[in-house]
Amino acid sequence: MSKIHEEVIDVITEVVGNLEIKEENLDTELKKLGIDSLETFNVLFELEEKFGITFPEEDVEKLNTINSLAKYINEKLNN
Amino acid sequence: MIGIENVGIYVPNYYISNYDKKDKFEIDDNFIKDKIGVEQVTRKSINEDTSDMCVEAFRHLTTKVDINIEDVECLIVCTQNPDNNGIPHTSSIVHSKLKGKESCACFDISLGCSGYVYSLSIIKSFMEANGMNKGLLFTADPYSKIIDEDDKNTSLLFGDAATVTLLTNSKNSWFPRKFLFATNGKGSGALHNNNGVLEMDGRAVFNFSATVVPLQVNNLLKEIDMKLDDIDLILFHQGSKYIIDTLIRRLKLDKEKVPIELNKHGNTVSSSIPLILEQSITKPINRILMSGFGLGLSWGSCVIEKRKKE
Repeated sequence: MSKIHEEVIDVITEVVGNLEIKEENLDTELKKLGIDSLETFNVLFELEEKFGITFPEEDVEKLNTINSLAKYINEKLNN
Repeated sequence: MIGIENVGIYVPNYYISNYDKKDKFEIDDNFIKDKIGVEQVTRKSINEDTSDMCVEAFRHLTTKVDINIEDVECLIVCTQNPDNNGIPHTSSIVHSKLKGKESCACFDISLGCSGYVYSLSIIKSFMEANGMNKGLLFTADPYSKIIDEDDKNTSLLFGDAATVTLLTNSKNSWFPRKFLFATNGKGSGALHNNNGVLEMDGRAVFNFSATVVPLQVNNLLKEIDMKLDDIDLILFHQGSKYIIDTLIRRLKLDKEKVPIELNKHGNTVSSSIPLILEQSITKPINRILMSGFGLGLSWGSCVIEKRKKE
């Protein structure tokens, strides 16, 4: 697990509260982890602030797992 | 100096339960109670118009304070869902229904969720500039006129209500101390009327609210050399429980100071702050911060203080 994965998990845990995320959950859909639509808005918002990036509306639908979020952030930071 | 003397309210009796929409919108009890925080949304009756709701709010005000309509010199209605598409202005219709005097100034203000804070500043300044002693500020924005009941984004949230704030030159009032206003017109598409139907981009509205409101609250306090500890109560626009919880978290606020009261009627747009203010101004507290934000995108905040005028 990369540093960015850990930071994504930290944000999710802070926003959602009592949620245990294990390494095998990295490709699980956020919805299936119990994260609802409002919490997803908040997670994306906090990640945008933390990393100084924006998630365009057209990309949001596919950013639905911890892995997809971490990969996207990594690409944005390295471009 | 003009201040807030009292507030009257009107919440329609008819409502739609969000629990009845659980299957339709694939939501659960937790989402209704703990996330949006709206268990039911109020709806005006078909025969009732915006001006009628204002009249009902005034009727409630008269049960609390002795007021002669002949003494009212200024009557303002904040709405974006007026009678007859705004022609004539709803304040004129309310003036007629309440049998106001001819020398009473009447006009409407077109603003949404920031409307109460803006309108409070406008009516205070207008009355002081023109030497007036008694004015009425109505808020009535029945979004049911433009809600698509099949739209999950809006139909679970918005409810109908009206309020009236009595502003006077009385010695014992709540006096506005400082206002801040802001607008992001480029973001206005996030919440708009599309051919008679309200459309909302929930993520854009959330991002906007979570970003600008804490900044404005902090700037406001800085300008009047105060801290959050100096404020007894913080009345945020009741957009949804989730956005208020987010503001509490981001501003590190004491939850006890931030009422969340939208579960029985929903987001009532410009009426959401005065609905809570009505109960708050009788409490043994001295300082209230109010912050309205939403459609526009527009936001405004102010601090009001209870004091005896010298």
